[in-house]
Amino acid sequence: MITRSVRGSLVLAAILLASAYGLSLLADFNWVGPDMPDRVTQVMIGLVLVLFGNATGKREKDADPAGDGKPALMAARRFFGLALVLGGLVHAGAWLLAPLELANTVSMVAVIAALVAGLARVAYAVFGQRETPGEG
Amino acid sequence: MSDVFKALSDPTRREVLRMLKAGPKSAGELADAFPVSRPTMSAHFNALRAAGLVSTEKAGKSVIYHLNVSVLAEALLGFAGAFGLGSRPTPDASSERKEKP
Repeated sequence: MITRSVRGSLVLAAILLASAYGLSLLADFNWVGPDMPDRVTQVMIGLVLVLFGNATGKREKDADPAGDGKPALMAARRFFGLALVLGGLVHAGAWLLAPLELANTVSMVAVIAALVAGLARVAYAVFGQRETPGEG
Repeated sequence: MSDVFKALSDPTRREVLRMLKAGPKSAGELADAFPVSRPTMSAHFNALRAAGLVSTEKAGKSVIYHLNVSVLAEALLGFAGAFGLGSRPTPDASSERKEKP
């Protein structure tokens, strides 16, 4: 069964692929600059990151029964979402405005830093909670 | 999205969301923290639920509220609080309420 989120992801992937192919065709005909396909595709990837990061903090009862209702884990999820949103915005902004060589580096560093920070926060929430001494 | 702005425009509802950041709470626990009537709190809860900022589950006779905000909604919550949209709730509403005869 295809859930709503899976359908949304497939539609986004189709839009990304179609726009990348369309732009590369346009570039072949010299209707757009040679940088344009890369830039537009990367900006779209950044915006997809923002979109997914934005929804990460939302509580999905069925998809995440283990984390359901645990404040520390939910806070970590919200932080992970915020990190993804910021990483995605930097990624999109870099590909929109910066020179190509710089955009590549800046966007990769931003996304990797966001992932590392987000995952570290989630790991801290998971393992920090386990190591908390119980009462009694 | 207008539901989200509407929900975040009220300081009581923003305070409810801040309380829920610490973890899920029952409707009674949340209502006790504010010097307003139960029907008024119920209207606040409905506004938050309509905006999708909280989710609920039944636990026996009580309703448990969970925070359910996106990054954007949380950022808006922070901005609304920082710029003091609407009037602020009384500093210690719960103690005022308990002092009432």
